Amino acid sequence: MKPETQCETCRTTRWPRWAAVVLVILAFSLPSFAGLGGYADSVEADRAKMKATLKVTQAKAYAVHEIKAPTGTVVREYVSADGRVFGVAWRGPFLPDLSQIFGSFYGQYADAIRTEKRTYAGRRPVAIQQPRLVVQGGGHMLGHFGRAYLPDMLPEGVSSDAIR
Amino acid sequence: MRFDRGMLFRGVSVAAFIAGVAFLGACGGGSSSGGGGGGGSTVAIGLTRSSTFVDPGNAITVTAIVTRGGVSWSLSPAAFGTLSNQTSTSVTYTAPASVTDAAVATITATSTAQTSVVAPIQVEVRTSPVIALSTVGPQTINQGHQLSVNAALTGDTTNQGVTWSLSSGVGSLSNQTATSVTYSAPASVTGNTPVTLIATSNANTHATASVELTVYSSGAAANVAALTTAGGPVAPSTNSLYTSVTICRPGTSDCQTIDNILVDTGSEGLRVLQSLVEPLVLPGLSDGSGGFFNNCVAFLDGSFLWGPVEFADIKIGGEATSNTAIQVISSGDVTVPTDCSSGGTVNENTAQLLGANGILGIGLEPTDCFLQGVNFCDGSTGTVATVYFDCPRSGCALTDGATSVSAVDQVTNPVTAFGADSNGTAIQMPALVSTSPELDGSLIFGIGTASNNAVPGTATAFALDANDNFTTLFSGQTLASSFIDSGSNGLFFPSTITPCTGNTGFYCPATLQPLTATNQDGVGDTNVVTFHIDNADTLFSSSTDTAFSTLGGPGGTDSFDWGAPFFYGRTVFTAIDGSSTPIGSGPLWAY
Repeated sequence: MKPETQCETCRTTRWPRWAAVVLVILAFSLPSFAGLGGYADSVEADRAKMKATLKVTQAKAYAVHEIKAPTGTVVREYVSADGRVFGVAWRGPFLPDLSQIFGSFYGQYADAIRTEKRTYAGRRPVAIQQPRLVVQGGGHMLGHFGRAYLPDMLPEGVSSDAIR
Repeated sequence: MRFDRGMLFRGVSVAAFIAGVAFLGACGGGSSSGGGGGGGSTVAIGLTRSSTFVDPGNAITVTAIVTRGGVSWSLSPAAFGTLSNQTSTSVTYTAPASVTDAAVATITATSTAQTSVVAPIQVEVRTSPVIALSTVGPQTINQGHQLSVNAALTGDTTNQGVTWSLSSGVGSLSNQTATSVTYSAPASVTGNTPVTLIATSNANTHATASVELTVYSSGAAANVAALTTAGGPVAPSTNSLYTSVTICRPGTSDCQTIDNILVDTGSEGLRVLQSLVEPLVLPGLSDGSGGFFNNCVAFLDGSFLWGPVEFADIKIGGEATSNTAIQVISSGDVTVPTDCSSGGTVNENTAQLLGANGILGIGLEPTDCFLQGVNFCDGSTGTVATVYFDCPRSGCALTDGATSVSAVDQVTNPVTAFGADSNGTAIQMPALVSTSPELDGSLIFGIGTASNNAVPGTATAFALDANDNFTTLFSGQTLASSFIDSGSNGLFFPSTITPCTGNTGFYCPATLQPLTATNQDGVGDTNVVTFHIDNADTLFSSSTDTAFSTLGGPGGTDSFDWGAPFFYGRTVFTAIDGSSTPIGSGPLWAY
């Protein structure tokens, strides 16, 4: 989501009230602007999608937005100083909506999974190691965990180990 | 069913049939008996074949008589059987192993000296009798007991039936007819003993069907189901523990036995491909107003399963349930709500994608929506997880959301529904040093309920955390979300071991890696595990091995996934949440 679509901006225009409503709906439903690689505002979209509570903690070079869904699953989104989500991690009884929290990287993830499934019929954790996208996930029914991050968006001095 | 692929050559008869298309002249004119090597002479090809027909899996030889030079060979339809032993004047044609409809293969010789000269010859590929046995394996039988097996043949045009045989002298056959037999297990065996019952078509000895039996010694009784790593729809399979399950329309003897069911202690509930249970017409879970409930499950590898909740009586080994909710995995192109599919990416609705005909989830919880007493799907938490979807008979829409379903209607861990031996399971597999084409073991129901499932005093029982995990200490790492899972195909853990470039997702060390890890729980129980990791590219170079004790790969950052290799050489107990056992209340693991 880009700052221009925020409601404060809408109100400075002469657009009718319904236009603002439409823009808000768009902002909350456009997956291409939410999640990994997106702006911190997308955390709110993810929280709304999960009907969850949000807690923000500030580390030195980034902020952690922790979203807890009522079904027990916790999603952590790692936001750099420039407001971008560079990593996400999840843990809990149910997988979060990955298309929501992976944002515009969901297609890349899905392609990698499909490629792997074509060559290997079986059950094992996810281990996608691409230059621009790393995804690791696993667990069992009612106990999922995983993380995804963008190596070239990690803030200076921050290790991928921070995302968990 | 299995067809013998043995290449049996019929002798090339001197009085061979001459191909219908005999000496073909090429355009361009000239005499067929020209200057012997001169560029202008015409080539002629004559073909003979060792038989006018071939049975499935069998081979015939086609020979060319060429006036000059040799020929190259081609086959039409291209993938209908294979050509081998190709020389400039002969070729071996092997028919496909299984042929359901009679067909014709055309083998064409093309002159290498003059490529415009071609000669085709046709071979009739006969229909194989397809043999279906009433019992599919692997199946267990107690010593001194009998098992009647029937064969149904399709394509047996001369009604010759089958001849029965055993792979070894274990037990005997009686009451033999062309379509039925009685197998009698020996009065006593000294240990669990495998034997294979084979039906061979009398019309075509290359058409066979077999069922693998395990004769159990005294004490191993109704609470045992056979496990094997062999089989599976995608051969060769990888560390997959398969069993067979019989599913019946509730309260009837209308049943279907399904083999190649993956035994999974990492999930809950029986899930079977729709195509395999459809003939039974199982009752679905109705919402009372024309709609039916569907179930969605996401697995650790990014895949998901989707399909209706239906009720069945389930029989595994000698144990049975009554009217139990299962998931029938929808085949075909059905609409899956986004709330289900976006959590996963591959709809595993075929045996090839699933690597099994179904999954027998016998994990730590009673249903697929319970976690340590909390039910996330019955509405009691004030919200519902995206597991059950109430849809019209015509199917779901992309936008349909999850709905609540009460515990009794949720896809149920079948073990909890057994009359006895319902508090958990023991999985017992033989030790394996490296690899094997087949490793057979036992799935024993109940913990401490019979002489064959007593927990030995040497076993360690582990209490589990709120997410049904324990901790593994490995290589300086504290892996706090670790678990034991028969459904994982290897040992998966974070390590600096070199990952494979070919078989991505596995480890490929240059040399065999001896390793040690420690499993522990929060109340002081610990156990040291020694294991080895080998190069997966090397392991997978075998086209026959299905069990690999040294297969591993990378996993989550704080998790050790103790998959199927962990079960080799151990008895692993899985106690179900809320049940009591001699080693404590579930959920817990012991080994």
